[in-house]
Amino acid sequence: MIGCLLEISGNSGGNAVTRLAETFGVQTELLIAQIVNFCLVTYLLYRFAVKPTLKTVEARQKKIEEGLRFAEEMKAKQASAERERLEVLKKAQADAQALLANTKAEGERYLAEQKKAAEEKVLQLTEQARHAMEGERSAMLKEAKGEIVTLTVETTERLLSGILTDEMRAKLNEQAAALLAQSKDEHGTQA
Amino acid sequence: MQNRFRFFTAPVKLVFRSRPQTKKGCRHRSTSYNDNVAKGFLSVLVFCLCVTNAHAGVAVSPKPYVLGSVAGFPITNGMIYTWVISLAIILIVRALIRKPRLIPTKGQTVAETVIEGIYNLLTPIVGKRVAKQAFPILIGFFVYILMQNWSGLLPGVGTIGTFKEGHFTYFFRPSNADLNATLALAIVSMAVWAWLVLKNEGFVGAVKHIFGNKADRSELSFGIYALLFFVFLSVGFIECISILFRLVSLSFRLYGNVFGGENLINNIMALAPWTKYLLPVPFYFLEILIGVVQALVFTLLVAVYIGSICNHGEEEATEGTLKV
Repeated sequence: MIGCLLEISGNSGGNAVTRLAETFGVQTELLIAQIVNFCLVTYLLYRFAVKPTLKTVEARQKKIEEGLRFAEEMKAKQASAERERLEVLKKAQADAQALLANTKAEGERYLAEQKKAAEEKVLQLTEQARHAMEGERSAMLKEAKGEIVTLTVETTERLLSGILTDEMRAKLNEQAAALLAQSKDEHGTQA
Repeated sequence: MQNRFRFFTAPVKLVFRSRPQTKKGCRHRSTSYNDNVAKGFLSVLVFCLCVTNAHAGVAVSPKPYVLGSVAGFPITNGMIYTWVISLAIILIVRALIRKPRLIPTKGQTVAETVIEGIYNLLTPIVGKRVAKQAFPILIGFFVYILMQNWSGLLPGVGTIGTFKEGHFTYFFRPSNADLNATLALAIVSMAVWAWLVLKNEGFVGAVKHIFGNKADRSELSFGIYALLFFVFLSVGFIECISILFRLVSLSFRLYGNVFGGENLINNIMALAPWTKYLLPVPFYFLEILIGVVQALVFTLLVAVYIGSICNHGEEEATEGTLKV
């Protein structure tokens, strides 16, 4: 090639460009054909290979970006959900504690009320029983006194029926009646 | 029998075989698959050495051979091979990508890695705003030049042909070893450059950028600032010449490298009768590397040309934000 160039440069005859073209076989038709050929190959290459590939790469990048963003969002959501869960758990624990304390207090209050009511009831029953016992006792005493008086009178009457005169008997009866009336009055007052 | 041809059949199998079965969810390639890849690669090299350069020693012609014409249109060996490789590029890339999926296949991963890598490489150079407009053509440059460069190493290139009047005329010539192809790429690149500059900066903006006084008025006295107008005007003219010469530099750099590589391998094979079998192997690897470097250099230079006017550095290039 260098020889060719030296030959061209050294040759004084003819146009150097024309001689150069002749030496290297440059022809307008071939030049145009090569241009068309290259443009065609480049177009086909770009249309059917580069462009779809670039689109795919772009789509992949978009997909990856979306995936990463989605992952970040999910991570944030998970953290938020975890935080919310802990808050709910904490609140539930607090509520449960409050409820438990409330229930405990209520139970204690109810127990105290029931205890008090039971005590009152016991006192009332005891009082009633005491009253009943006292009534029965006084009735028994009254009955016993009556019987004792009757027995005493009958016994005295039997003893004295032979000894006492009618006059003495009448006087004694009056005294006895007066005593009975007195004792009846005392008893009535006591009742 | 089958084993004898495995070096030749391996690359075919590598391309057309079904994808290796992997366990669900497992992204690792099997060892046998990796072995096959390595074998396939080596077999391509060995096959190249066995079949190519039947006419080693004959200097590679600097221009393509005209094999015929269709309606007055000349058909050259460079043109034919360009069409073949262009078709191969489309088929290979389509086979790699197929229908792109969110969970990529291995082929799609390779394609995505290349596309994303180039995009991330070019965005800081041309600027984020212009990157979207320039990327389709820049990725086209890279893939096209890379595949065309590597295609020169395939068997059959420069070896399959006919003898015409005692002269061997081969059917396949690497596209980038044809100045028509590299010049065409340079013309397209400059057209795209001009279109992007006019679209993003406008004619006045471009002229201001090339000829305008870039000094800071607040830091200079008026005399010096006025004087700098002439300096920048002169620089602008020089830049115009450099812009025009980009056509030459871009096309000849690529052409020279690929054509030089072809000659290098050809001559290495012709050193002695036995040198055609193993000696060229390192040079094949060198050509593979040069293929990548030249594709990258061409693409980066075009990106730099675009970025030098359109990228104002006000935008922060963000990696990994591909937009169609």
